[in-house]
Amino acid sequence: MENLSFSVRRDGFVWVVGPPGSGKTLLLRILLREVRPHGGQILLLGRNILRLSPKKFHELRRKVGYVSEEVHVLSGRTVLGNLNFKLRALGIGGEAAKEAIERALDLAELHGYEKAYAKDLEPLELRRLGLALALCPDASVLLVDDPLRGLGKSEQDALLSTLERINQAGVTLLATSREAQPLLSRGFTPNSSAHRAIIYLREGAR
Amino acid sequence: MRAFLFLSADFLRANLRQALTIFVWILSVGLVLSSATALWALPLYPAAKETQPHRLFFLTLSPLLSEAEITKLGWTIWSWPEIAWVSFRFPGENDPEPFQERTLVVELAPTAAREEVAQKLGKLPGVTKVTAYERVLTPPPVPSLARIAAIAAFVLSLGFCLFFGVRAAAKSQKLWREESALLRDSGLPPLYWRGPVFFLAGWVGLLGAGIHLCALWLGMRFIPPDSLWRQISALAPWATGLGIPGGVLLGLLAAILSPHS
Repeated sequence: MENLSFSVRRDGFVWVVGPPGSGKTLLLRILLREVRPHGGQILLLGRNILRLSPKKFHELRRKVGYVSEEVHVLSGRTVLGNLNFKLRALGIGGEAAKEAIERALDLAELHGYEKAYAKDLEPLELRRLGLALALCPDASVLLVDDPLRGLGKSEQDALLSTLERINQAGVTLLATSREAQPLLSRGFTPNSSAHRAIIYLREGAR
Repeated sequence: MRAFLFLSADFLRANLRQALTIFVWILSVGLVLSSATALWALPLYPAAKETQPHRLFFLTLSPLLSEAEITKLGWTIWSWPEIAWVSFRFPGENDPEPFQERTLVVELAPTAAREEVAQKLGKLPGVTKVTAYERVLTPPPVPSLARIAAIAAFVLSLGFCLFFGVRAAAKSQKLWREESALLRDSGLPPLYWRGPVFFLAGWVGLLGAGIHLCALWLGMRFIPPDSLWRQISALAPWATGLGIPGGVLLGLLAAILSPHS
C-alpha cells in the first residue's frame, strides 16, 4: 500500500471499496496500530497514533470500535451477556453499563433480542451484535470490515440503514466493501472529501 | 484489577469443561516437585572405610547411688577432656544394647587413650563395672540403581509436566478463544486475554506445590529412619521454601510455552 492519503470528517461516513487483496483490511489494521506502516502519519481523533505511547494509544483505542470481518461474538451467551462481558472486561458496571448497553442496543437496532443467544442469531442480527459490541461503551469512531459480505439485498439494505443510524448519532464510520453498487444507490459518492464518500483501492500486488 | 479478576474468573469457569485435564496438570506439577525432593534426599555418603568407629564405655552404677549423685558423677566425667559425651540409661533401655542396670554411657574423644580412661573410670566411686564397647556406624550405601531411578523419575515427570501443561494451557485458551478474540477486537492489551492463562497456570503450580507438601509431610511421617530417604526431615524446610515458587514457576513456564490461540 503506497501513497494513500485521505481524511474522514468528524461524523463522516466513508466506505473503502476494493477487490480482495487490495488492502482494505490492512488499512483498518494500520489504523488500529496492529500493523505499523513504513512511513507517513495517521491522525486518529487528532492524535498521531504512531507516536503515542502504548498507554495513551490504549486510552484512545477505547474510543474506536472495530468489527472484524468474521464478527467475533460469544456464541454461547445472550446478546445482553455479550455486552455485559465486554463492559465488565473494561471495568464498567452499574448505571454506566446499563446506559452503554441501552445506547448500543438502540443504535444497533437490537431491542427485542436481548435474551437471544448469539449462536441463534441470523447473519444480519449477528452483524448488528458486532456493531453493538464495538459501540460499547462510548465509541466515537467505528471501523467495520466488510459488513455487507454474504448478506442478501434486503439484509444489506437493513444493515446500511443501521450503519446510517449509528452515523447520524454522531459516530464517525469507516467501513470496507468489495462492491460499490449498494453504496452508490444510497448516495455515497466517489468524492473523498464528501461527508458520505467512497474511496476506491486498486487490486494490490501479490 | 476488578476487570482482571472478572476475566480470570470467567476463564476459570470456561475451563471447568476440562477439569480433569487441569487436575492431571496439577498432579504432574506435584510429581515433579516430589521426585526432585526424592532425588535431593538421596544422601551422597562417603565410602564406608572412611567412617570413624565410636568408642564407648558402659559404666554400671551401684544401686546405692542417688539421682543427685549420678548427675554429679555424669558432670564430673563430662568435664574430662578425653570424653566426647555422657548419657544415662535406665534398666530396660537398649541403646546401643540392652541394659539390666542403671548405666552411664560414655563416648571417648577420638584422640583419647582407651586404657588410661578405663582405669580412671574404674576408680570412680559408685561405678561397679566398666565395659568397653565399639560401635561403627556405617550408613548403607545408596544403590546406584536407586539414584538412576530417581533421576529418571525426575526427568520423566518434568518432561510429562511441561508437555501436558503446554497442551492443557493451549486447550484452556482454545476454550476461551471467542472471549480472547472479542477482547482483542476491543483493543485491550494482551494482559487482558493472556493474563487469565497465567492466572490459571499460577494456581495450577500453587496447587501442585500443595500436593508436593502433602507428599513431603507423609514422607516425614512414614519414611523409616533407616531408609534411603531418611534425610527427608532435614530437607523439609528447603523443600517447602523452594517447592512453592518452583511449582508456580512450572505452571507459568507451561503457559509461556503454550501457543496463543
